[in-house]
Amino acid sequence: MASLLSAHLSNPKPLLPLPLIRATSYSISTNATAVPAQSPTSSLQSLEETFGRKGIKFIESNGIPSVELSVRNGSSVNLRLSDALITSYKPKVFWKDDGCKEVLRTIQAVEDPSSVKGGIGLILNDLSKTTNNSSPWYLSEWVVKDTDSDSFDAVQIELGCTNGNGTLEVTYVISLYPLSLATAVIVNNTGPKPIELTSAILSHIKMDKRDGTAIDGLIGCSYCAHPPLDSSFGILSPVEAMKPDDEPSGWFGSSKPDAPKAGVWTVEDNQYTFLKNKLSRVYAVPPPERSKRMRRTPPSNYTTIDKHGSKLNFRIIRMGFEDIYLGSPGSFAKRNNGEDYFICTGPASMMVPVVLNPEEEWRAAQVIEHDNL
Amino acid sequence: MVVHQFNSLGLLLLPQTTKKCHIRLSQNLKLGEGRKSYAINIDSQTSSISETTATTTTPDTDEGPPVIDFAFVNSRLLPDGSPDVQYRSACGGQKLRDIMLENHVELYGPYARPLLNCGGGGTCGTCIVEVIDGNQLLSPKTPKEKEKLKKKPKKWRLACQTVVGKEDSRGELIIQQLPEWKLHEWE
Repeated sequence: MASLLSAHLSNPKPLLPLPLIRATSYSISTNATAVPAQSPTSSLQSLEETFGRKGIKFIESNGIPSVELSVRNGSSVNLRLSDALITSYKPKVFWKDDGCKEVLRTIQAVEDPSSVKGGIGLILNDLSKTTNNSSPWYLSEWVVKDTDSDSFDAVQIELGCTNGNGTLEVTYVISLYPLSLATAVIVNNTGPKPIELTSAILSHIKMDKRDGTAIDGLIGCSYCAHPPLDSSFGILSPVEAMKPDDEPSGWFGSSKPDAPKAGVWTVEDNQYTFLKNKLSRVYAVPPPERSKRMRRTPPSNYTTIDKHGSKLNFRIIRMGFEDIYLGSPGSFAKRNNGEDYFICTGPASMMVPVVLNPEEEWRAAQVIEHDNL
Repeated sequence: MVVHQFNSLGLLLLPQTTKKCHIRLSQNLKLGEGRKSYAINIDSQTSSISETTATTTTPDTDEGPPVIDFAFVNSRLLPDGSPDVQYRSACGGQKLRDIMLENHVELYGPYARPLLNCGGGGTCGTCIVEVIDGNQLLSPKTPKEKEKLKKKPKKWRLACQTVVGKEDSRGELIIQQLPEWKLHEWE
């Protein structure tokens, strides 16, 4: 029952345990049953009976079964069960009574209220499958496997998903703590052949003002312009993300910001990466350098800054992933009837696919934490 | 290696509990004579260090200019208890402080602002690092260091007074940043 952590950095593929899993003095014995979603209310009820805890509530929003996680200090997370998309994360960031503020940007399509874009989502692409199917395999058909809660300060839910022919088993664990939110993915290769994966956990973080949006902590890391991985929840599609911004900038007419060409690697030499203009970058070790003896690792965490808006900083910690994706919409943010600015960022393993041999497991996680209190 | 069991999930109750972590430098690290890989166990209660040498019989070919490889371990562990390591490479012959600042590795912590440290003079005592491994590459302690670090553990050094190797040295160094703030123990 007690699970200790160990991280081996010796393998080329780092195996990392789930974040924030510690030895506890009690064990939860729940039967992890897959609940078929036939009639929403009855399945919600059965979910609630099997998995409901203090701080874990199964609700229905816009016809989609979701679960709401909350902890004692008021922080809460809304997670959609159909596609494992976190649609809302409201940590307590101010000391006043109702001091929770929404961190994530989500957009609801007008014609189809059940489709939501934005939030925090997991992208997992099985590259070896694209030969048969023309469309990449999207993660869907999530089932709740297990939940855990210590009634006060920690809540955890585990979702499972398998791909069509049973060769891949994916587990997605979302844990909520008073000052942080951890999302971890564990991929198990249950098939006979090695599988190549590209993966990312992308978060769309809301910024109150476009002007002072920046990222701190990526100095010294090399980057290149690169589109994000394609996903069902990305507000900007890969093609849109790479398009240069066509809004007239400043008072000097159309002065083009120097958009680096895709494939050209440069080293970030600013302490702060300003995100006022449109960009789409991957911060990583350039693939040709990865075979070298010793490579300079990208930073393990970075902070988002909203200097003129909410003045809140959020630290995003990457574990197990190799690269960091950073995208900012520029003037595209206004397109979807929103005045709010946002950035799309998160850890990824997208430049070089991860090779997973049969019977092997790959773990990776992202933690968003803040010390604004 | 501990495998996480899925049927029971534990939750974070305390920020630190007994955990074993391994940190190993890149496997292909080549020294002059052979390949060496370290496995260092960090255990907050008991600590042990185990060194496994896997020497290859074939002589290593010279790979480029001589550099020294560094593993900088942050004072804060990652949320899952594993050490937060940054790998860097630099030429020998420089002061450790210069290497760390150039490669954007946190050295001063809260004293990084302009007037809070002496900027390499050896007078403020804020650039303390702990040398986990690779001490043989470093210059001996200067009198200034001995003065500042009189009551501190023997492995601690002042980065602004420590010169790492010579211009043509190769080697590997594991440095713990901000040892006064670290939450884990090394042997």
